Amino acid sequence: MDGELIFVIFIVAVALLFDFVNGFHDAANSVATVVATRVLSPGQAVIWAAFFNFVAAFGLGVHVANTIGQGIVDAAVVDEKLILSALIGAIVWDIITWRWGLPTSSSHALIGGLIGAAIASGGADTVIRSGVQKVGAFIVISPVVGFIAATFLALAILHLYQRVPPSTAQGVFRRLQLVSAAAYSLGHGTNDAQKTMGVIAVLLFTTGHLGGEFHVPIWVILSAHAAIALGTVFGGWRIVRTMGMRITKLEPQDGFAAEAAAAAAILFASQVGIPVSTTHTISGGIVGVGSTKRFSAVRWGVAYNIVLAWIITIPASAAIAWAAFFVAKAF
Amino acid sequence: MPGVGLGVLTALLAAAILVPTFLAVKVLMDLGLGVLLVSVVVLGLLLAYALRRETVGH
Repeated sequence: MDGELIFVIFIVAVALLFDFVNGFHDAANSVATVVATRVLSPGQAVIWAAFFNFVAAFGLGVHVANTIGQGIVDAAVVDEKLILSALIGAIVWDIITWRWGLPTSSSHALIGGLIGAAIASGGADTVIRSGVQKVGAFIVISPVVGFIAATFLALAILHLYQRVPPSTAQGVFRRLQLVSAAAYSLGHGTNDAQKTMGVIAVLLFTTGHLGGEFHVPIWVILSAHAAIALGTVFGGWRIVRTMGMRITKLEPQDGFAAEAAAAAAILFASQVGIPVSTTHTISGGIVGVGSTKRFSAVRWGVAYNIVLAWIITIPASAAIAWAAFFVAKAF
Repeated sequence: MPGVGLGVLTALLAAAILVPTFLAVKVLMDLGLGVLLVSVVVLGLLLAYALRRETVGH
């Protein structure tokens, strides 16, 4: 086995580690609302989310992977060192924000990493502006759509359940939340695992291990979903606490509305090939349902800190990747 | 089992709200990313303002 192939295998392993860290860091958001509303215990909820993260490998397409692989930076400048630097930028930023307990976006950290490494490699012209604009616009669009859809749904539920005894309503929503949590985990699995798939596929393509046409091999799809599911199983409790309990107090019907709206938003984005932050989207949903009860019930200070972390994620991970590229180039 | 009927009704209600919402998002997206961004932000701000008025009272 030649040295170049060993290096490619090493980077694929790092990409899967990123996916695992993504699960560890992000995927716990999938279970935050079911844990906060005590529909499932933390252990049960994590297994539930991980299962649907993995099931998402089947039949939901690879549109997001294609965007990551070909729509963010010019594939002509992509090589092993660029991908490794991008991954280092994303992983280091994820670990820093995980230590701070902030639910920032692993997706945007990866995109920032790709941008920073591409600029270090070939200058600003190697960044595909239309792709970055689309991702940038959806940084705002995905949480706001999550907010709007969850608000409408929460208001409709309030209206429908006006004369229903609270104990009956609780029973209904405890079951429905299992469905909405599963749908959210499916959306999370497909959108987030595809980002890793895109990175691995473009690495294999540019190093000549994928044939003449860009595509995502089935082993890449399965291993990316397995990595994110394992990450979900292993971690993220600090962030579960922030998302599910610190933004606002949640009842089962609130959890259902937030998750159903976020799931719909993420599955929509996945079908149109846009990498979105699942963290952003569920946050928008949680803020929406909290606001329908009492605007002041939302702890805006916590929400504000999260938004701040979102704003600095792409520049910060880009800067780390930019520096990592020059270190990698020295070897 | 009134809970089952209520659960089905709630699921249908969710579909009746979410499906048209995302069809509208797709239509706006086809009109242009800028159109979608501005429309979503304006609607979000209006909704937040209305919720604030309703739940805080000023």
